[in-house]
Amino acid sequence: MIDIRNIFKEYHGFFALKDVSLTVEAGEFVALVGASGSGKSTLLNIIGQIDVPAKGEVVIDGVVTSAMNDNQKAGLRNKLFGFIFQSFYLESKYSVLKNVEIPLIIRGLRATERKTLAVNALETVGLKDKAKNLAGTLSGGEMQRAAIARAIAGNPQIILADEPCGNLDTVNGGVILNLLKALNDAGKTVIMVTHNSEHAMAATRLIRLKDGELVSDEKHP
Amino acid sequence: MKNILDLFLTEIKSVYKQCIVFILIASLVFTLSISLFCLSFDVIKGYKAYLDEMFADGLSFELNVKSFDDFLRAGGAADYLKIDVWNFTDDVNFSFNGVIVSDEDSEEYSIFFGDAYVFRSALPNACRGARLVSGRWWTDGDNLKQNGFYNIFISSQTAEALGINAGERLQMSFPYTNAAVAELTVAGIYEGEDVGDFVCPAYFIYGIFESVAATDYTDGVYVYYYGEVAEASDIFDAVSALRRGGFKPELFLLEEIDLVNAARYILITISVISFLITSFILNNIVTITVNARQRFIAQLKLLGAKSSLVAALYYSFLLFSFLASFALGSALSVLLKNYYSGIVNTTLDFTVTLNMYPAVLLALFLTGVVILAVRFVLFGRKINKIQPIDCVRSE
Ligand SMILES: Nc1ncnc2c1ncn2[C@@H]1O[C@H](COP(=O)(O)OP(=O)(O)OP(=O)(O)O)[C@@H](O)[C@H]1O
Ligand SMILES: [Mg+2]
Repeated sequence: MIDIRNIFKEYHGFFALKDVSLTVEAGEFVALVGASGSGKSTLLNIIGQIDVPAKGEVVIDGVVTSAMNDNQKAGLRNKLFGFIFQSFYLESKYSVLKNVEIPLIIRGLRATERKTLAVNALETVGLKDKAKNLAGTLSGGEMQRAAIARAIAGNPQIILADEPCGNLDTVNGGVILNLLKALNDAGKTVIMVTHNSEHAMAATRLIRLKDGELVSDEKHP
Repeated sequence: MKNILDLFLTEIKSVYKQCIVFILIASLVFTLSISLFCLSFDVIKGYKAYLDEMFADGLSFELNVKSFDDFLRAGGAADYLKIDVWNFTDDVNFSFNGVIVSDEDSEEYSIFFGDAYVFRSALPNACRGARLVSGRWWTDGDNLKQNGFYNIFISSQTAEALGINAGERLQMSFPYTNAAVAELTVAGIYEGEDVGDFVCPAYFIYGIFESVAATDYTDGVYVYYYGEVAEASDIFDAVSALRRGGFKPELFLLEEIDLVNAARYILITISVISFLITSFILNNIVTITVNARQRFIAQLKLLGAKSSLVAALYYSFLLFSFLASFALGSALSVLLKNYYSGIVNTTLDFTVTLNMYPAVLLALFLTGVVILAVRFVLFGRKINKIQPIDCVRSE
């Protein structure tokens, strides 16, 4: 469903990605690993239509994304992808519920529908009773669960997670990983960047980047 | 549309603090702007009321007319114009059978006239009180060139002094030549108080003066119009109308009128400047808001918001701030109007009451909307520059 063809990403003569090709099928749980600066986030951002490659193509469900305009890409980000980041990017002054609702507001859903979806998502991550709290008052682990709720509320097919446990202790990191595994079990495609080798082993496929190049691609059944 | 409102209501909770300060400042400046603009009308209004009170009998002014064109133009210029007195009446005589009309008290004649060629349906203000005694009155639209050209209407006192009846002819003469310059038919005799001694066509009178000017007995012709306004306040508009017509009215109030006019324009200028300042302040609200919320905007885009949605969201803050501060400013203007009037009244001889004019409010409001519309274009570019990637770049 995601077809990456000969991607290059250049920053002022420096190549963050060099000729990366990769196909991810629906339902896979991909762990992206590699040293710091190896290009993991860059690749994830390009997949998620947040960034554009200097060369090469990303084909999603048969559609070449470079042919899309900004609004079409925005639509794709809103409907197809759920994003999770190391630093959560929650609005601390918004309630947890409001944070989760944002992509749904953007989608133009009606308030009642929005609320149902958001509450369901919060229930999935076990944060239903904190829905009314301000996001800024949550603990780190709770914040990341709220971010996951936001990522999954709109029922996207693909979850892109960039070091989702990077800011969390082992216990909380484990909770997040389990949530991602559960989502994958429920049929979502998950692509997760991680430094944690244990977490990486939880995935069904492990891709390693080195200096912007794809150096290994293993499947764990 | 609905999602803009939803986002707006959510987002206002995080940005209202900076908004409120700006909105308060903006409303204060708006108050100034609105009050001064309204005041610019009220100063005129106050001055007019003052004129009416001070000069309850109306006001007259003098108009120096230098050419025949001017003469005709001035004659037709306005209803409030009449020839009241000739300042060199000594030079002209009206005589009948050799009897010269002379007014022992003043040596002045009041000569009213109608339009240059055609009498108007309305009499000049100052001879409205006239009643026909004998003969005929002019009829509306009498073409003077054709049948009324040599007609003159005289007051019953003048007729008595001359011993003349309607239908008889009198001579208008020039003392130095002693020759009759023109013969006029007395078309009608009227009576009334303060209605002047003669009424005759302006064109004709000027004709007399032209022929006088052509003699060796005078250096030139100076014709003074004495305009009169029944309501003293009309002088204000009359003066502007005459000036627009290229005339310089001579009037003791002129300096004062100019001063009041200057005050009006100063008020309007300050009002406009403060209005622009407000629009600048409001613009800053959004600039600051957008700058402060750059990451959030990038995040909205990352989560799939189109640029237009984000632009609409933050533009609605500008709109909201404008509406809020304009409403607040209007309300404050109403509250502070006595205060403003007070300040003005200590510096002026007359009393000014500040009113709120809906038309002024509307005009300022629409100006604001136009300024905001222009802003929208610049604003869209700013929002466009913020990319989803900005959300995930290192802090
Ligand atoms: N905007 C940018 N300008 C210049 N260089 C950049 C930019 N973004 C990323 N890079 C460089 O590209 C390379 C890859 O960056 P990327 O963020 O993808 O690494 P990463 O594998 O995610 O590293 P980390 O594990 O530390 O998050 C790095 O060397 C980084 O410095
Ligand atoms: Mg990274």
